[in-house]
Amino acid sequence: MAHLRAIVGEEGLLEDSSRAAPYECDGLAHERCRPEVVLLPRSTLEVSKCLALLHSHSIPVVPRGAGTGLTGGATPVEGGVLLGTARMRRVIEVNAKDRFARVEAGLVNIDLTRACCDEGLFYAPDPSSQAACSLGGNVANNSGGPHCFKHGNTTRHVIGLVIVMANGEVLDLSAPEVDPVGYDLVGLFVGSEGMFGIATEVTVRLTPTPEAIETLLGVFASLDDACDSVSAIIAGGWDASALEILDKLTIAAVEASVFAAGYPKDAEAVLLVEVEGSAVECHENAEGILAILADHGVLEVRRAQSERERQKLWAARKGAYGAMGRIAPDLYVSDVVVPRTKLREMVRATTDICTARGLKILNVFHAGDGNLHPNISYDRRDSDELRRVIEAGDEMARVCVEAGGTLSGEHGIGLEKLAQMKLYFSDEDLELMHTVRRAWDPSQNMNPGKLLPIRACMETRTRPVPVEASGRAGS
Amino acid sequence: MSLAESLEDIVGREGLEESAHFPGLPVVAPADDESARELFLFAQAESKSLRLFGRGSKLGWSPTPKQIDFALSTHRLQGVIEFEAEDGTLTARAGSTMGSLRDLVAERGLELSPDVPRPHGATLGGVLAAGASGPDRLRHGPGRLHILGTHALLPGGEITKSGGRLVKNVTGYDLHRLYAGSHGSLALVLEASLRLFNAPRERCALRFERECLDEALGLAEKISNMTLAPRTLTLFHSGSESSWSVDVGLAGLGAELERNRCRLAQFARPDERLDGAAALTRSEELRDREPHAGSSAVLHLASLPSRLADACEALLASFEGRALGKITIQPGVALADLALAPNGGTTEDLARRLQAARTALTPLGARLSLRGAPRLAPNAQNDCIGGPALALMKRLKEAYDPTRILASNGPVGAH
Ligand SMILES: Cc1cc2nc3c(=O)[nH]c(=O)nc-3n(C[C@H](O)[C@H](O)[C@H](O)COP(=O)(O)OP(=O)(O)OC[C@H]3O[C@@H](n4cnc5c(N)ncnc54)[C@H](O)[C@@H]3O)c2cc1C
Repeated sequence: MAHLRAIVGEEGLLEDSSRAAPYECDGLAHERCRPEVVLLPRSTLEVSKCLALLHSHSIPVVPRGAGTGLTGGATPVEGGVLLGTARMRRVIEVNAKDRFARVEAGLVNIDLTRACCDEGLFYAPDPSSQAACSLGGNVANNSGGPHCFKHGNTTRHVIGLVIVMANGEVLDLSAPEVDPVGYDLVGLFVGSEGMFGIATEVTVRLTPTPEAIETLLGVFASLDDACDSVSAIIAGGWDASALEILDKLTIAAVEASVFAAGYPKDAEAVLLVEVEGSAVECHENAEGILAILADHGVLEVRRAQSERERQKLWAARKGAYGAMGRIAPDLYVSDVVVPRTKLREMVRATTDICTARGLKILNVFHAGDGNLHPNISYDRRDSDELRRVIEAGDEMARVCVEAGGTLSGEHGIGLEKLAQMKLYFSDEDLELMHTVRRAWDPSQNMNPGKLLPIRACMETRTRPVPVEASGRAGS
Repeated sequence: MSLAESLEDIVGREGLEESAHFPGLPVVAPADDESARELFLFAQAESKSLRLFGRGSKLGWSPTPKQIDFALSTHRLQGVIEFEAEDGTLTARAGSTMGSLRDLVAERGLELSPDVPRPHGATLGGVLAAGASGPDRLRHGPGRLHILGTHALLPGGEITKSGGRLVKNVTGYDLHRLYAGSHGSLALVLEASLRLFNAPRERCALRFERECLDEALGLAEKISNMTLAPRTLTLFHSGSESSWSVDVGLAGLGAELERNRCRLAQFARPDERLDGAAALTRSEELRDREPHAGSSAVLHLASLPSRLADACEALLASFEGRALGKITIQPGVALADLALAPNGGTTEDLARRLQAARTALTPLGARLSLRGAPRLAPNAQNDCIGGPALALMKRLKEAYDPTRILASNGPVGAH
């Protein structure tokens, strides 16, 4: 402990239980474990020294950004250390000419756009949690967001990294390479959920601010019509930058909260559409999309008349999870993807799964990507309700995979979907992932027990994560 | 039994071929995944080393390994597995040509990326393994970003999946990103899924002639700063004439296209303008005007847009006096290909100039590699990697291919 304290300083080491308590879980709040110690280093060098020391004692390490992850990826492990990047938030370089930025991994997502917007640039991936989540967490989870429909998840934007490996070695891949030299280590690291090493610096591509943006809100009398409109917009080849659906219960939650934006409470669903580009491009795309909405029985379309109105519509969409918190003490945020041609039937299927179990489901999702978020409001103190929530989560994942879908579009696997990995991957697929992980971290002490289901023969050295018998539900 | 006979046993007579790329070596072309698997198992059992390829169009991108017993081509592993036009995705077997896939999706108003040169001679698997891109990179970004998932045959005979067929998916590690650009050194990609894009509704091609490289780069910079979002922007020098052509491909919805064309015409008068089908034909000609044709080797320069002019100057200075062929520059993505004329000098001279060029380019953050080269040491041909990155790459190679049946000589070094 003294050695660690000497590396990170007094402020960088938390060991007493009151100060370490906030680090017991991430957004998957009922998976909890008290870390032995929380380290908050200030630089790549400090991270490297800490990891070298911990490695020499075979102590497991769990990386943590802002702890907004929803799958338990940053849940501590017993006997392990939690290493957070909260004190590494510098913008190192904004290169407007070549459109990239180099930042420390703890930088909050929205602060990157703040740092480059004066140059007419922005950082495109915009998770709804962007006011809190870190770039390092975004990299580890390959996070998405509403505008990733046009711009793609984090992996499309990361062009360099500095990674500290489990043994403390520093892998400097920060140069903004046009193409990787040798194997694409950066591409492979993105989405590895903290199991390959700790990203301390991130180099990202910046996107020019569009000349014009048009925001439309389509109001529908049925969720089916809203879903069908999205499928038709995609099949019709219209270029939207975001296509987001909110259902009636979500609208009610949002309108009853500080995020109220005037979404019509009597609507069964609204579709929030954004198009961007030049003024002409926006106009032509918006007209094409409006015609499709009309064909699908839209009751009314509102156009944001000002930037302020646009911001309000988006604040309501991005604040939806927060607003849902008012309905019940806990929220299970599911994240599955289905083919975009099957939106209507899969939204129905997930709704039926929940209602059949007497659960309250609220839908707010990235419809343009087929990325569903069937969210369940519940109270985890009610053990029977918690059991039904977990069962519904498993069932939704199963039906989506059977329909050609996948387990996660942006939140990752973490602890929450460990068991479900076998629905999607064969033993050989998973074995290969274990092998690749061992190439990065032969000690397997980086974030053990996450993402890859443990098979006794594969991970003899991994310490078990103390998962409460009950399982996986979000908050 | 000779090696050729053993291989024939597995793939049948029609699967045993010869190829100008591998003189004197048996070449096998399995017709299905199972025969490919048997070939891998055979190589394991007999300690044979094999080189993977598609149709051979990008074999020169990494130096030929010395130790190969036979080569395996995917060209018979053809066919579309799933084409979901309304979902914007395509899954095909690795030996399908990019041209055939491109023609298929075009019928539904879609396009795939990368739009590689001579697409009917390039396979999906080969393009993926070479990490290739085309002129459409300016619009769509590097080709590796559009691979949604793969099925790959591992050296040990297992067929494994990574990613999937959906446009958004973060389930499991993105192993397919590792295969992109790995030059067949880790696994044989059997099938790959791609994200598709809406094909432009209308097109226009403009050509500007300029006296020298500086003027051509200057015009390109102005165009890049105009927020025209051109689809392609290519500078070309034929090697024989003195002038440079600057080709701009515009695409989009009618009114948008017209507006951009007018904005561009306001400050530079094009020497040639083509619309509609003629513009498409022009873009295909530009794409296929690969500098490799008729040259002994091509220098591939990767830089940053702001440093491209300096990097080009440094490169040309290092090769002054040596006969050069065609030069193609994509300023928007800071890439340049410079062909070396055949019989332009000795191999030693080439190695020396490459070294000098690298010394000048390194401070500019630019990289240089040689494609389709005469036999040079891999380190002379490609940028070196060192330190923990190289060690990690070697561990990854070891993890995939512990018995080293997959021969490769990529930037990671001789395997
Ligand atoms: C209200 C709300 C809305 C959300 N909306 C979205 C959304 O729209 N889209 C979306 O994709 N997600 C969303 N999320 C999920 C979450 O915000 C993202 O997954 C985010 O990227 C997590 O970032 P973080 O900094 O909080 O990471 P953490 O939660 O701290 O960690 C996430 C994972 O990354 C690892 N990790 C963290 N930092 C590093 C590092 N530097 N190096 C290596 N590994 C690291 C951790 O070990 C863990 O596995 C939302 C969450 C909330 C609470």
